[in-house]
Amino acid sequence: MYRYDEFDDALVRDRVQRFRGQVERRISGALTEDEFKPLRLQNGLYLQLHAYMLRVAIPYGTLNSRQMRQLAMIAERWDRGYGHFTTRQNIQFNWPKLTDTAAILDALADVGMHAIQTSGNCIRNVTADHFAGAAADEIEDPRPTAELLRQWSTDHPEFAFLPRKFKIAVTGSPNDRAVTKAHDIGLRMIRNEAEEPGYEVIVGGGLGRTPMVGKVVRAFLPKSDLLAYVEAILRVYNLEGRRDNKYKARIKILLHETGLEQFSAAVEREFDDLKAVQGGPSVAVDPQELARIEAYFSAPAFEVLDEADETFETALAADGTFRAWSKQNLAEHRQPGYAIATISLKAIGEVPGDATADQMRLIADISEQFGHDELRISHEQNIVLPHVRKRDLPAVFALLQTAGLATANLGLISDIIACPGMDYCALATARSIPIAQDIARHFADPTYAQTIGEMKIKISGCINACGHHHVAHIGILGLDRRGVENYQITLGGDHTETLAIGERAGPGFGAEEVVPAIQRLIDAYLTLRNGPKETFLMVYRRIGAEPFKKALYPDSGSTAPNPPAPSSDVISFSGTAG
Amino acid sequence: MPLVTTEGFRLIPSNETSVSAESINDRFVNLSGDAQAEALRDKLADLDLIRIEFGSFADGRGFSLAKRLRNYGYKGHLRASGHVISDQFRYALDCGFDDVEISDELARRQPEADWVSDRATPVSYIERLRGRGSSIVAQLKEKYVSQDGVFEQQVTHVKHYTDGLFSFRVTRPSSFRFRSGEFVMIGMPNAEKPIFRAYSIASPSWDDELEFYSIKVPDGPLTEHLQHVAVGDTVLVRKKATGTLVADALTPAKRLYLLATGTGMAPFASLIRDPYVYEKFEQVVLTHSCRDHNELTYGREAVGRAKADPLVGEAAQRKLIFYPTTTRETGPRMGRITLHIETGELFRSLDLPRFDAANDRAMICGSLPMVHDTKALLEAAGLTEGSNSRPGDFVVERAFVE
Ligand SMILES: Cc1cc2nc3c(=O)[nH]c(=O)nc-3n(C[C@H](O)[C@H](O)[C@H](O)COP(=O)(O)OP(=O)(O)OC[C@H]3O[C@@H](n4cnc5c(N)ncnc54)[C@H](O)[C@@H]3O)c2cc1C
Ligand code: SF4
Repeated sequence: MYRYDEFDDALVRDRVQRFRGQVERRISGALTEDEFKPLRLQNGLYLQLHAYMLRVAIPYGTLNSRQMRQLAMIAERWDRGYGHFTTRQNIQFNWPKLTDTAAILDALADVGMHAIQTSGNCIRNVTADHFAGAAADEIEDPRPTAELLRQWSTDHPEFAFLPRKFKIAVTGSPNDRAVTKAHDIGLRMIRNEAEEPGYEVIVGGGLGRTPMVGKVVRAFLPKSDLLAYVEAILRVYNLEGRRDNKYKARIKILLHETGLEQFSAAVEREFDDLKAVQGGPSVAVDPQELARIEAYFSAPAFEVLDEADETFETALAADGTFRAWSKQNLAEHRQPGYAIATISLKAIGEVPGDATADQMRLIADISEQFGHDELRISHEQNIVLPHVRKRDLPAVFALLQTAGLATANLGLISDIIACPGMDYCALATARSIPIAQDIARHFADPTYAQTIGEMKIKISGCINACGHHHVAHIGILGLDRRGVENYQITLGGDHTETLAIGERAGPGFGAEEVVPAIQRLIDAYLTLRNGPKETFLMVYRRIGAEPFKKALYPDSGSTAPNPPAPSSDVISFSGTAG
Repeated sequence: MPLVTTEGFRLIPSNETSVSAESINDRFVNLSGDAQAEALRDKLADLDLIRIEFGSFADGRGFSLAKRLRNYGYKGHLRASGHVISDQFRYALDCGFDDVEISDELARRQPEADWVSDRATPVSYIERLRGRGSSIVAQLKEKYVSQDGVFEQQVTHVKHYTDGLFSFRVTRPSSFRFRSGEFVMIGMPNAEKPIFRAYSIASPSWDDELEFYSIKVPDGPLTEHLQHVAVGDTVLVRKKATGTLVADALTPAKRLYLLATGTGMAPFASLIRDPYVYEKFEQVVLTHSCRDHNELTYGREAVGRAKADPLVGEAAQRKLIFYPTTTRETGPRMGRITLHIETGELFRSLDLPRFDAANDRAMICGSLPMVHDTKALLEAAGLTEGSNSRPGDFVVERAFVE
């Protein structure tokens, strides 16, 4: 994985120093509150409901044991003993004091981490497939690309004051685990007919108030043109993106309003101009620098092993809980005898994505001892051990069990994504964490959960959709209806390479009605499916929403009732969604 | 309304103060953030000044607009005007602006020092991606690393020039190889973990001693001790020399410009005594800018030594031109080298044509702002930067890391 050298270190230290100075200049009055705010945000510091929140970048989700231990230390020393892993491969500390933030940033710098550009209207932390470098289905490792983009976008002189935030994701596998179609720019590493490496460039995807599926702006971009092309996209966006209405300021709206053809033409024109000039800020990357970055991501020293391992097979046969965990939480590794193990942060009844300092330290120890010192954070808020020998899995599992980290629910109904919601977030209109906890408890029985099979439930506490509910098989959106929490359900969303935005099922439910409503959907699915191999999403795609709506609203006859008169924000939500 | 320039706050030149929206004329243009750069594309060659308005500092369109105009080939003056804060100064310069016009109120809140310090960034990823990180990394590395692989050398000669400048020579290890213009890390054997700093080698690669030309930084971790070295003392020299100011990093052409400020003279003192340089170029123009006259002495002596040198003296007499300027003390030639280039004074007084990519190559060594501004002038003239792996029209090295 990428390691900081003196250069990176000097850069993040300078940034911390700069931020210290900015805080002082805010206090002295040299900076007004308005001027200070974006600077604060670009250093990861949010003002939340109860306190400041510090969002720390975990670039493309990769970290080592030393970094994980430092996160544990920070959680203990300056926060309340835990951290929250987010859907964008960041970790958030919810309770730091403003006066401690510079010290925290220093502590992060000590282990080669930072909070730069984790919020604000700039290019955010670049995300990538959390199985990168390990997955059997990978064409090419996306991490060098992600690291290149991270460096290029850090403190970029031109793109620090964009119309709105800007998110980039990269995947190197046809099975898109990075949700590239729901990003401002999604990059899929592909090969053209001549087998040359390049990217499919997808622009204008996004969830939020107006969910949209990204569109292919360039079907094949040669690898060496990446930075110039991304620069062209950002320049067009920076100049043309709407600044009159922050809800219409994302690039997806620009693309939607301009139309794909015209937008692509504008980008291509800018790109041609850029290629014609010498020394645009990003255009020519020194080949030695590229090689230096790539070298960091070479595979660890894998042992040459047989695919089958006796210790592993014996444990599988002997221990039912281990068997269940292995079935659910392991993925195929490209190296024989190895597996990718995912640690679920969705223990029944716990807050999705939260980890205590002790848990973080245990995970750090495991990765050091058994996992080539590497960890990944998935956008589904779980932690991945990308390279574990199958032989070591029983020992790893036993250790996880000691810390409540052995939940065998990956991809199952209780592996829920939930945003912070009303418990932490100033924008929330409803709680989301308690709803997730209720659902997980209700479906706690592992055998039942296995019977239901693959099921993605995602919950957002307001229309900003940080919980990605639009792309859930069953999405839940918490709203406020005249002072009462009301939960709207969407059906049939998909966050993979076949990305789809879920369809709104009908009127919302009160907080207590959510679990029974989900149960009705599950009952309907279990009766409608053609055997256990047919997942909820497959059934939905085969027979459509109608039977599920009928199950959700049993008293309303054959069609769903008309929703109540929508409030104004709902109008803007559906009005621009098309 | 103060004008923030790379040299600090200035008053707006009187012939430009009238550039208001009402007085747009053939040579001055005002643009707002939503202006279309394309519309101006054909007229850019005729314009002297374009002023881009920033309604709010949070509206970053002006940065892209500036970048686009520069990409279209606009070479005139580019000014940002309005609500740009000091924390954006380096961004504005990097995007191609020359200066920023701010309100009196903002100037009061964010005094000159805020703007100056915004530029002092030690490192930037974009610079590194362009392949310019290695010398900075070498320098930074040595701030931490211990001392295996060092030569212990004896001082043979010391000469003090001013309160702040001196030079010294040490014996050369027989196995130590370098190319003229490169730098090496040196230190003093005065601690368990000695501090090393990057130093350009001021002698040519064929010389049997190593010469250095040094600053004396008050309380500087290395130079507070180094300035007291005497003949016979030991100086530590690391085993590997490196750097971009080498003749091999430039493609062949007619003329070579060596542009230095301060101790940035050191690598050029080496190069002007290297025969390879005179084989490769028909003419070598060395400029050196310092605040006061006595700071120019070392460079003047170096030129004298080159011209008297048994090996290269004859070629140096024919080909080497020295062009010193002072920036503070009054003298025959005053002002920063960038000014002499911009006004054309440099070329007029030497009777040379202005920079052009076909005939001219350059090396720059000086402070970060000097490197930045000089580089911009070369690029404006169509020269492109080179490196060891990819030779080009010019190369740069910072004389020190701020
Ligand atoms: C590639 C490279 C080549 C160098 N070559 C030389 C050289 O030939 N001669 C030389 O004297 N120095 C040179 N330096 C600078 C040198 O490495 C040290 O910074 C300098 O010797 C002071 O060391 P110090 O430990 O006393 O103070 P430092 O802690 O290194 O510096 C303290 C401060 O003094 C200022 N400063 C440092 N060096 C200079 C300088 N040369 N001119 C003006 N201000 C300065 C800076 O503001 C710096 O922040 C070079 C640096 C680099 C990166
Ligand atoms: S979806 Fe709404 S409530 Fe949830 S984190 Fe985002 S802004 Fe906050």
